[in-house]
Amino acid sequence: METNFQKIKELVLSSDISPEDQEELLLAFFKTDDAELEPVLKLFLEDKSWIQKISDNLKAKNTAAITGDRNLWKRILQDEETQLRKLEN
Amino acid sequence: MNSFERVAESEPNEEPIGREEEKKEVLEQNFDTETALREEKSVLEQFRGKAKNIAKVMLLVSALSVGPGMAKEAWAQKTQSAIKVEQIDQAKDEEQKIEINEANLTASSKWSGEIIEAAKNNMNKVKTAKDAEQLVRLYFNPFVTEFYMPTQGRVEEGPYGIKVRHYTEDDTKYLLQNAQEMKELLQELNDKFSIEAFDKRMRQINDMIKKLERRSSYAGQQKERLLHERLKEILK
Repeated sequence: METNFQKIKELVLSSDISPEDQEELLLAFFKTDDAELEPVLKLFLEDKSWIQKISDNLKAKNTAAITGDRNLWKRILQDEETQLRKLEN
Repeated sequence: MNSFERVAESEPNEEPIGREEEKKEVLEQNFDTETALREEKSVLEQFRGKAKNIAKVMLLVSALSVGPGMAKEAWAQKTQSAIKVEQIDQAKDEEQKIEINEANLTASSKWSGEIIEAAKNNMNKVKTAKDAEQLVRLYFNPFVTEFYMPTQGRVEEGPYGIKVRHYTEDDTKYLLQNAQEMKELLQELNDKFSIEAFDKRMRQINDMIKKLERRSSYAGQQKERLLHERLKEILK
């Protein structure tokens, strides 16, 4: 039986994001408990445009974490909240 | 004023590019990952329905991006070994690819050469731990900052307001070469003087190198084949 990760891998590899972004995203999900990937798979299956959005989200958070930029982290969280509020309305 | 400060003051042309106080301070901040994750969780937990599922994914991404746990270390190690195998294979087949064509360098990477050159010129003037720390602040910090928060070259605004810079293939190779040199300088300074926050600084330069290696390896026409081969190796 295919794992959530394997299914996500197929979706990411067939997406339009750049090869380096594909690798970064898959490496992030690699070794994550497969059950934790359930919402990721659900999201990507519902709408493939979320692959790009989650890739961007990961890259931005990585940048904030590695540089220790608290203001960037706050800005990312504000953007996330705004995105989610739009989905609720 | 110590000997290094005098040198730094007397050679204004060796000042690195893009050194802004505000940016320098960013690298000095202590990023409390636990607090950051707790804050995000408290905000995102309030959502319901479809938004709740997306919030869960965003929280997972946050944990993955800040958690230097064992799993993340394992990914990094596997990536490194895969890169090394690939680099050897590539080197055999396409030796000319490791050469940098200076004609193709743009402002997106030239700043890195200027900083490295100035840092190297000042290395032999470092006599004390204080000098070493000052050299790190004058050259290492702006080097890393300009990479993650680009101001020079072809820059545009990307998602979350983060500046994204465009590079030629030679820009990437040149930046990688300079990042490796900066890492050597940092190591040398630490061996002699035990510089402050060495581990944090090494994480930053290693992350920069990892990103540039990845970008460099996907340059050219072989990127699809490389991606599939690398992932097959890493994820099996």
